[in-house]
Amino acid sequence: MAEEQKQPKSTTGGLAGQAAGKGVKSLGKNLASNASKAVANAAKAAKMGAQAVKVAATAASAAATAGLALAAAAIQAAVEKLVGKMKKEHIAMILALPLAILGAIAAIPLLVLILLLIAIVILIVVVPLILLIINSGAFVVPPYEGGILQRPGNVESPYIRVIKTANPNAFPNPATGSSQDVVYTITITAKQGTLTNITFDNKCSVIWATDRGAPPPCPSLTLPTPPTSIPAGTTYTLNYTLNYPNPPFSDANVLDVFSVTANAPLGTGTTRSTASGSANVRIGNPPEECPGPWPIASDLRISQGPGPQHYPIESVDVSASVGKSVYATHGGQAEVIQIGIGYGYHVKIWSICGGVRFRSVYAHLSVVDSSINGQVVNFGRELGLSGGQPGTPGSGSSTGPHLHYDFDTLFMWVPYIYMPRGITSESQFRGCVDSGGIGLCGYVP
Amino acid sequence: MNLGKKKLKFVAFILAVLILLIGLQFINKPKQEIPTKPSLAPQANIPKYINQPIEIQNETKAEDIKIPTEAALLKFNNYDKPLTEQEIESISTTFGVTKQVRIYDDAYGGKTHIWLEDDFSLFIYTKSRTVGYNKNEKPPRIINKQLSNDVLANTALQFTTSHFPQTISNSLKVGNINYWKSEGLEHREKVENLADADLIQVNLSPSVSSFKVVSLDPQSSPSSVWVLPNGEVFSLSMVLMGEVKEGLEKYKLKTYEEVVNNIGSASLISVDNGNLSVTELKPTQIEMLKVINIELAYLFNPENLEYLQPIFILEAQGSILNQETNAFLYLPAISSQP
Repeated sequence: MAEEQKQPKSTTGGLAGQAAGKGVKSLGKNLASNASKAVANAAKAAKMGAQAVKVAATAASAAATAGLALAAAAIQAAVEKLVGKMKKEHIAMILALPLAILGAIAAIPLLVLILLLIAIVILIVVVPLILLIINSGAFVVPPYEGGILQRPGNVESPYIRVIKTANPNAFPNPATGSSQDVVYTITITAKQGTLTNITFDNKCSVIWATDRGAPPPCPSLTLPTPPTSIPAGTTYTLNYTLNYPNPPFSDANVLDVFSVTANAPLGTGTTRSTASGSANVRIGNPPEECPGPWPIASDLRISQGPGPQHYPIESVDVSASVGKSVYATHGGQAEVIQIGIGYGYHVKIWSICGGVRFRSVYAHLSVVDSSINGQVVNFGRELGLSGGQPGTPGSGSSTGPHLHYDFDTLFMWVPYIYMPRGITSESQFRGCVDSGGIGLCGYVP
Repeated sequence: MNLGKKKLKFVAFILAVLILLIGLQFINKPKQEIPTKPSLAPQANIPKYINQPIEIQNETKAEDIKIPTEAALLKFNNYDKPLTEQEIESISTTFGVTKQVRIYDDAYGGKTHIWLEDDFSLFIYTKSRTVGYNKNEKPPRIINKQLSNDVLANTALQFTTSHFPQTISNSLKVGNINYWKSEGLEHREKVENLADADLIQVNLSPSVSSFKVVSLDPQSSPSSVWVLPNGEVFSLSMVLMGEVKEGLEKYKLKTYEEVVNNIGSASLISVDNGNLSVTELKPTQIEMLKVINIELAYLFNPENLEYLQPIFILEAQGSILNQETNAFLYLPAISSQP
């Protein structure tokens, strides 16, 4: 199509050139001299006109018009002068070249003028339109970037963002009889509309070596009074300080989660929304927590071992009817996640083992203990009940009742998982698929 | 020459008027501040499982995609009313429970009543108003009776009406039917022919809904009945929404061009029919996704029970973990343009 549009232009140019060539050849010297002078005059005038138009284009559109008029006048004068000195029969041929040049020259300022007029019209129409949009209060709503998958204890809602930090967030054990202050800062952002009827809540837990008995409660905290409202798009900040004395706070991990619940505008009404932020304080050297035992009752059949046939993460499947208790195989921070596919309803527990941060996953659960999300759980804690029957809540993409258990950065073999009963080697376990109940993968010991 | 002067004067006059008009626009600019009050257009609560950008390319054509210009929200009126003890009893009785109930405080579903019977299990989640039912065996491979979709749909609807009075359920219609073939405990394939299926998923939607309703599984509605090829109900997941109403306000939806322009901000929700957990995928494991279909739907998100919001489901194909497979992405459907 572009080629088709170009073709007429080049054809016109070619014809004009041919006509000009014929005219020059048939004229005498004088006429040729006069004609060339006239052309030179016309060209000069046109050049002046073009320059005037250039200036006009940058200064004002009126000047462009003046340039055009000057050019036109000069060309007209030149043509009149030329015509007066020539015979009628020569006029048509002589006019061919100047007319071609004139056409080309006249096109430039005309084009500039048209572009200027278009720009002015755009300014008149678009600028007031933009001003109208801005003044009417409309604006582009930023896309929601939050989600249900956050760091343990951090949950962002479409309306509220809560960020909690602790300073310092790690320090050596305070000397016996002394203590360490920790300043907590919480920022609450009203992401969409003004938040009202705001309430605060804070949950805190301490984890330390299990042979030390029950960990101490967190230092007592009087919750700050919430503001009456947080205007849309603004951030409200609050601080408080907690004191960690030794005893009892040594070699411990303190996790607390600050939750904000508020009314947020939605449509013509409001909706109640909750978001939370968590902070972790590491005191001294908290114990590492490595997994070992199986997360479900003994004697259940293992239907699939870890390996490339399973999933790119180290994982096992245990055939378990719906409703079997599922336990934490190590202590750590728990995260409860509900997704529609894949793992479905599942729990992750984050910990450190051998200096490596890792997490274990317990998937396709039918129910999950409501008190564990964002909290520190101890080894052996019941997390929920197994599920996995297709079409039931929490099953995700499971095709039969079972527990899916996996690690991200640890190897799924002794000592991180006890050796299954009924098999004799790692190679027998790794890559196994229990087809038809032959028991290739063994049983939970 | 005179004519030229006249033209020049005319053009100069027009230009002067235009310049004057522009000047007046700026002089009369309102002095009020830009309001900070945000738009109250609701934002769909779509999870972002992968925060880093993924390369997504549109391969649909505008003429193939039909998008309405506006839509209302669907309001789930009873979202904040937990099921009552009386309602729980009336539901459990219809299933013929005999064992002792176990009560569990579930993180999302709230107080949950559980019956683990010999041949079936029943879970009633009071806060999320959800019922889960399943037979206790693995789906058997039964000779297919070649039941028609109408028979399967009627089986599903009859099962729900026999167990859930309409006062606590709601008027339902069949949204769509999927045929599934399973392999092992964690792999399922969607198949085209009923003869190849070992489970049939009948998705149900509130009757008032103009579009299909999906959960966080793009191929499932929040209420679905799973039927064996012999016509026996195998399992069920049912959200008892009670009365579901279309909101009074209608919101402008994204145009096809807006959808295409915003395609990069869509959230990846499912890959390989859900066989791979999208939460564990890294962006580097996903090669370019090519969107082959765009469909409007209502999203039911357990994180935001009150409203079902319009979203676009983008069906895509791509190479994930070096395997050609399908993927589904969600994009909010309400336009942010005024």
